[in-house]
Amino acid sequence: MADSYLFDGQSPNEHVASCIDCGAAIALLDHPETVAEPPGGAPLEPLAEPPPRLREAVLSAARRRRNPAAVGVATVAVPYAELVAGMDDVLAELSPVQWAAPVPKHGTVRSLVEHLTANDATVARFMGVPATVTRVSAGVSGGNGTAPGAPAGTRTGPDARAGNGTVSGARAGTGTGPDLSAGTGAGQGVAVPEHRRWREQAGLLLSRVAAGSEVLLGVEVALAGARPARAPLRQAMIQRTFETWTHTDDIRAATGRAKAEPRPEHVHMIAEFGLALLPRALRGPRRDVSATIVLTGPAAAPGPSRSRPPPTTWPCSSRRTPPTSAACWATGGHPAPSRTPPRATPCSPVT
Amino acid sequence: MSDMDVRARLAAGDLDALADAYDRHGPYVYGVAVKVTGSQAQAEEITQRVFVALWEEPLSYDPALGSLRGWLAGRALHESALRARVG
Repeated sequence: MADSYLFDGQSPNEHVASCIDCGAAIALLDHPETVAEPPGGAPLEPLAEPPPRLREAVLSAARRRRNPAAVGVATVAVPYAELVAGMDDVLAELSPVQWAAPVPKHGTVRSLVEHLTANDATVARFMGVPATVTRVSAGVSGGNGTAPGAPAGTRTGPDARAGNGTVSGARAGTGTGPDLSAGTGAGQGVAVPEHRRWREQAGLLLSRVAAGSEVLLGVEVALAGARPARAPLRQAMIQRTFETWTHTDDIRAATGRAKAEPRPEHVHMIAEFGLALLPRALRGPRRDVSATIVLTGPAAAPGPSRSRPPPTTWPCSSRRTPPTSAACWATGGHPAPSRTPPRATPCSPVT
Repeated sequence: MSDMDVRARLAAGDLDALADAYDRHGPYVYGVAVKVTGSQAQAEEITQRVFVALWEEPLSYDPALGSLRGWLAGRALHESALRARVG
């Protein structure tokens, strides 16, 4: 667009005045606040203030072109969206060294993201996300001892805890390996294929669920996990939310970042999902006992949440009172991070 | 709310996220359009088109390639240049 400027003898000002492209570019350069918000700085003045009526006009036009998610759909889509955004934030900050950081049971951060992408694909395929998006190089890995519906590849028992020791060791830094807490802000973003694949699939899954009806949430689909299990789409989306949360925290732990919890109401929703699956996680013949689990902490709902009693209910043998987020981690096969194990105390019979 | 958060919430069909994006970036989008077209009426139309496009196809915004404000301003600039060229 500078050709005529170079050869027709115009002055720069004359050219900018007559060239649309250059005029627009100059407008942007003169007002850099239009392309980036100042980090932590005071907001800059926009070029012009739009009329107040424009806001409603924009929102009305948007509603006409695409319906917002139904209320019931939003209750599962929005929590998943928030955790997808959280993971996206974390992955975008990872340096090449951090992509290779060790994660217990999954190998590296990179292979953990592949694992999550593979598990998300279970629901994404049902929602019609193209196979070119859902296909990933890593298979769905599932360890022994995984509850049906709990994130595949998670494992209960001492192995998982032993694995955490590896994380601690990596974070502590022995002096022989790279400092995994350093190098943040590398902004790999789109350059990492595993990140791009996961984000594209998660976004399409979100879009398709959001565009669906509440009736669709009742359709039974396969849950991700080592043991076959099916549940309504609503539950499958909560499982996706749950696994995105736990694996984001796995990556945070592996790269020396602080853990973060979802909103309390979302944690409660996840806890209800996990507790409902506990009876199906039992191995061997069922025993005629039941347990009452009273969720505590900011995510606890009023009143106790009970695990489903077996067909014949006998007086319960124990009563556990974990913080709600710890209950989530436990049902997912993760040891709750840095928390005192829940107490077990006698309780009155379940009726 | 981060740009990634806005993108995900828009994909989840949350119209409040669009309202939030408009409140944060609307004046800049409108400002670019006014500056280039010199017309408030055209700038309003362009602003509307840019935000509706974001709502319809939120995944077309890739946070790895830049800020949401930059993406919106770039679209406004393109729309404005087309209209200014047509006249």
